[in-house]
Amino acid sequence: MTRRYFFERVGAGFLGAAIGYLWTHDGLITSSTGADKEEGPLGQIAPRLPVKVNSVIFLFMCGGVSHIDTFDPKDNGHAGKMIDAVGFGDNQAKMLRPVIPILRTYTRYGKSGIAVSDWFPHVGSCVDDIAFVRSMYTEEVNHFPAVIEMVTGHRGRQFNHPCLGSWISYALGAANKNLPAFVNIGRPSSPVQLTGGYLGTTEAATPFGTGEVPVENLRTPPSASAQREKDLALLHQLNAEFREHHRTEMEIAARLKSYELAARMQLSVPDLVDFAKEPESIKSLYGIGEKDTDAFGRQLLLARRLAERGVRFIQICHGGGGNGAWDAHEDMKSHGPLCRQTDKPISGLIRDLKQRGLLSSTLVVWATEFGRTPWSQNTTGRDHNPRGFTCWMAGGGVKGGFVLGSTDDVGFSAVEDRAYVSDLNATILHQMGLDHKDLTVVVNNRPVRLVEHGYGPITKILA
Amino acid sequence: MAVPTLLTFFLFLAQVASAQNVLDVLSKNCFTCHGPLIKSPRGGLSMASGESLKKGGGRGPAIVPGKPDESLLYKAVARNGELKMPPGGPISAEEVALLRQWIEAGALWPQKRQAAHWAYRPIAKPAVPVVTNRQFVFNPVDAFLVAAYEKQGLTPAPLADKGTLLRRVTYDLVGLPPSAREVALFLDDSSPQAYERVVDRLLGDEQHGVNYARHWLDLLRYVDTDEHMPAYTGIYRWREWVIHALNRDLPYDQFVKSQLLGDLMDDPAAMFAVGFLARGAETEKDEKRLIAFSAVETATTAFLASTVGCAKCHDHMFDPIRQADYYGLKAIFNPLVVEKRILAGPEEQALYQVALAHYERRKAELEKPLNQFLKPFQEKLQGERVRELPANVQEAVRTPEEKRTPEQKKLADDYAPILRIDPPKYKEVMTPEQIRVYEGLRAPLEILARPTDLENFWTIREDEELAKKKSFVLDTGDPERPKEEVGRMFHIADTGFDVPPGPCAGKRFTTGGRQQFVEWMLHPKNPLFARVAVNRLWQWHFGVGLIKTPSDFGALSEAPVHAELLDWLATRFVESGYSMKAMHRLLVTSRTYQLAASSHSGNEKIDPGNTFLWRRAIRRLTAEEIRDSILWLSGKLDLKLGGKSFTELPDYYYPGSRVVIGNLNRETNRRALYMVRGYNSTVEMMPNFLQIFDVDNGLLPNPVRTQSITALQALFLMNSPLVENAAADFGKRLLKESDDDLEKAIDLGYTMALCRPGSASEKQMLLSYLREYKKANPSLSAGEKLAWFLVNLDEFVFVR
Repeated sequence: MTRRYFFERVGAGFLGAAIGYLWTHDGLITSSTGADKEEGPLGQIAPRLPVKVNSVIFLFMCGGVSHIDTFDPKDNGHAGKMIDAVGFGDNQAKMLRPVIPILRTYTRYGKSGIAVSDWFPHVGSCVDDIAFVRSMYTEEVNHFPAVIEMVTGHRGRQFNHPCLGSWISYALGAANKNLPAFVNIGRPSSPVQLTGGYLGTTEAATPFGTGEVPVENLRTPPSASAQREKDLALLHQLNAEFREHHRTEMEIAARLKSYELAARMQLSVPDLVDFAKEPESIKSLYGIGEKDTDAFGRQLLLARRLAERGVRFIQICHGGGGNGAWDAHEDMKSHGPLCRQTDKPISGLIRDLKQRGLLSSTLVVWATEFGRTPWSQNTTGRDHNPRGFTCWMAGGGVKGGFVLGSTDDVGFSAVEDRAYVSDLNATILHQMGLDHKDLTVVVNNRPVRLVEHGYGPITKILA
Repeated sequence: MAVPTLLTFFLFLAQVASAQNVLDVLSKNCFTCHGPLIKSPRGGLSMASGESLKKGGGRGPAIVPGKPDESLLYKAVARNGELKMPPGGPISAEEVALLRQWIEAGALWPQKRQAAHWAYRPIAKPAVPVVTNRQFVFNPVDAFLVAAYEKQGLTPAPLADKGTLLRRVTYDLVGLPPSAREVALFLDDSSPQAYERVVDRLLGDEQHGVNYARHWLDLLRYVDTDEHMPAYTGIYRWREWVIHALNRDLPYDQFVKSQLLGDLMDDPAAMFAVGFLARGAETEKDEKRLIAFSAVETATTAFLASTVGCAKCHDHMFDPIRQADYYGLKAIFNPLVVEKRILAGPEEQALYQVALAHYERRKAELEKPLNQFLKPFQEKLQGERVRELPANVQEAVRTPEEKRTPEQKKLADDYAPILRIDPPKYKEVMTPEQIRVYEGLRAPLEILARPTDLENFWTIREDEELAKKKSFVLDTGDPERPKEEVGRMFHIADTGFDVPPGPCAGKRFTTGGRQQFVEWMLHPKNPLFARVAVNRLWQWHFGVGLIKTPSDFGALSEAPVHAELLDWLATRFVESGYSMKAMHRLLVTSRTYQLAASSHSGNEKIDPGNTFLWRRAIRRLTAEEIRDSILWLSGKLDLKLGGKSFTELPDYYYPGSRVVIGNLNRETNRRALYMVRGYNSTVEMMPNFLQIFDVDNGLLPNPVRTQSITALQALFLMNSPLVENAAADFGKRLLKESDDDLEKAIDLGYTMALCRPGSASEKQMLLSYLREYKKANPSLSAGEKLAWFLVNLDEFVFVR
């Protein structure tokens, strides 16, 4: 499918007649040119910048992680005082609010000596591979609007904007013809984190799990499993006459390929999710087998295996459902178990990628929709804080042991080297070789992009 | 005879096409820095209009019409001067050539020709063409196309065989496959009226309304839930209304009118029609006036194929729609509010009142001792906090609620969240004994349930207070950013189409704006109303509309190749009193509709895109058709009409959305039209099945379903529990109805699934396979295996 044709189709249907075939986009190319172009990745937009990373592992913490209790150390100079501040969430009035103390101790790690709180000791030990951005900000003050703003680059949902992963799938296509370009693991905060929007359902996330059935309907029902290969061979024969009759139709060629891909997935995915051959040392690196870390550890090990197989964008959502597990209004202590669940697996992922030599070509991103305020709503928890929070990246051409930006001395507003949430997306695209300005689709005769606001890639953190 | 006219016409089309392509090229490559929406364009060059291009920027004029080599724009994109554009890299040679051609031809800018834009011109009443090949003409529709074949040198495909045609028309009109009996009856009926009898039967079938409701509701944004949409409780009654309206062939103008004015009509059932408007409200109070926004955008998209929505933030870039027009029209809908109507009878209502009174009394009884118990703790906890606050806040908080000044009220409200005390906070200052008492007092309150709501429906009404309020143009649609005041008015700007001299043309009105807007829209001289409708009906029968962008008839829509046919159909539609069934009948009994989906090498060279409909296009079954067919073949499909939507997902899937669950049911064997759809930002409401087969979430009007072909679809058909269970039932049925004769079962299966018996080779392949299978697996059913093959065949998933 030519880009031009694609644009016409998208534009034609009043937002949404995107026609897509296989994950790899090769169904159409093959059938319209007659040439066999199965080899190699094929998306809609060729990278124009140097390609630094093949895969992105995007770790999203649902609900809003408190930056000042994790990666942005502050002293307790304001604790116990009422300070004048604008509120968020339900109450946005400017008024006095009670700052609550930070109960964490911070330790300096590595050569860089970057301080990380006692909630993330394992991640702390990896700081020399991490670039922290302590000056993130977003506009929306509530969970779902902020999630939508972060992953689609647009506020509000009236245009059905696609999410970051779908844009990457659309731009680059899949590198592995047995697997999709965009995979999601774990329950997201919002279905918007999976949506292909006007790019179409073929660019949407394919949900993967770590359990018995990693992909919906992947497993052949037991009564048919012994026979399935023969079934498919006969099915192919039964289809032959119809296919011959309609050999000029793209859809028919695509359907043949869709069954081939389904069959290849049935063969390759069980192997992908089978960790039996992973040595114990690797499993324990991720905390697999330990009560707190087993579930998330498995998800991250699966993420590594997907990255190894060339999946472009692997999104892992932690604590999704409702407002998100990290939404600690009541009591900051609720962050404790969540940090324990994620700390060791995340450091395990970074170490494992590094020892395999994959960290340089894989970008690990740790993000959340916003941070939390220094004050409480008369509880021992914290409110939403879109004005200043921390996200970080590791590997994939970013500087290690580096801190960019800062919040003010109470940890409320980003003040130095401010980075808008879209800048994070622009940086990810940049490392994949894509200029965020190239990533355009014409919808309703109007060009739209993932990144339309902010300052562009956060170049200061790039190596 | 029509040669000069046609020639001029095609020349005109070529120009239009060229100008449109130019806009595409510019918007894709240049608009980021020079687009009409850019306030300070780079280098001072704006591409907002042909004039602004001629005027140019800091470097002088960008184009000199007729002289590409003197035009800076051309030199920059051809990269043969000092300036090279766009900065990111060259545009394609094709695009450069197009720009050159366009400048050579005088650099015609589409906006300059709006007065002549085809869609706004009055509907012509073209004569039916006289053609040589009269054998290809069953009805006047064919004459237009045969004339085009003759002109283009095309040969129409042969007629489809009877089985194929029956399958095609049955899916088209009712969304289901024909039964084996219906196939047999049709194949045996050799009378000339056999096909028309089938068409009449299908148009009389109540499942016809179900299938066409799906088309309309995609467009009108039907959902069962959309965040906090209050109308969710009875919205399905709007869907039901649509089904019945289509089944009784409510004339199209009435169909539209009822959905926009039903609250003012005598017909009590029309109250349900305005579910269309009520669906737009985001909350009960609809603070953001989303009813009005939604009405403007959905109605103009669906009924006028105008992208009025673009003018929400700025004057339309290409069509004669100003931002003021958008907000003038919105002002007409601004007074609308949603209102809940109880549908239960007086007896039920009385019972409900008793139960409610009981609930409230009991609640008060339980709260009293709890509050008394908590009071000292509250005073202690709150007192500490209050003392830290500024004096004026302390005073405000301490003043009894009813005595607070407005300023004090605001202060108290602002501070309420940080003065609120939650259960854990209380417990911190209680002794274990006190905690026990506290929990004991709270427990009965937690289990006290409010009586279930009575059956209700959210309709709309005009609010008198709101009607008195002024309306404004809103910057980016934000109610907090009003700009100039607008009256209630609607007209497409002066350069626009031939507006009838009705009450709407630029006139402001204080009341009754909605009626007059609808009157204007439905006016027989409104050139868009009937054209847009017949184009949609055409699209639903033929797969692609005569105008390929069914929701955009504006300046950037594709040139109308079949303009005369479109106008003839529109005229016919108006003259028939807007009967949709008459139009369905006309279209499906045309010869063009009955052509085979076969290729033709000569035609492929002339018209590979089948623009002139010399053959039938194949299409993939929709999500609904696939599911309905599979259940239908299994004998389990429940054809009951109307009612609530169903979900297959377990309760736990919807945390915190019990209200939604309470309004759905588990009748999962019903037609897929009734499968829950909608949007919620916290949880996916749409079953995965609908998503992988391209059903949208109802956020936007969807005029064309995508037809993707993916591996997830293949996995669904191969392995899903739905297919597994249905194949078991279908297989049993096949064997039972064939007295366990496998060969007969194969024929029956092919007839039921594909409307034809199996061919000799198919039968032979299946027979030997299934016999061997049965031998190797005595406990398994060969019928079930046969059924699995049938629903996985390409021929099953496509209609040809």
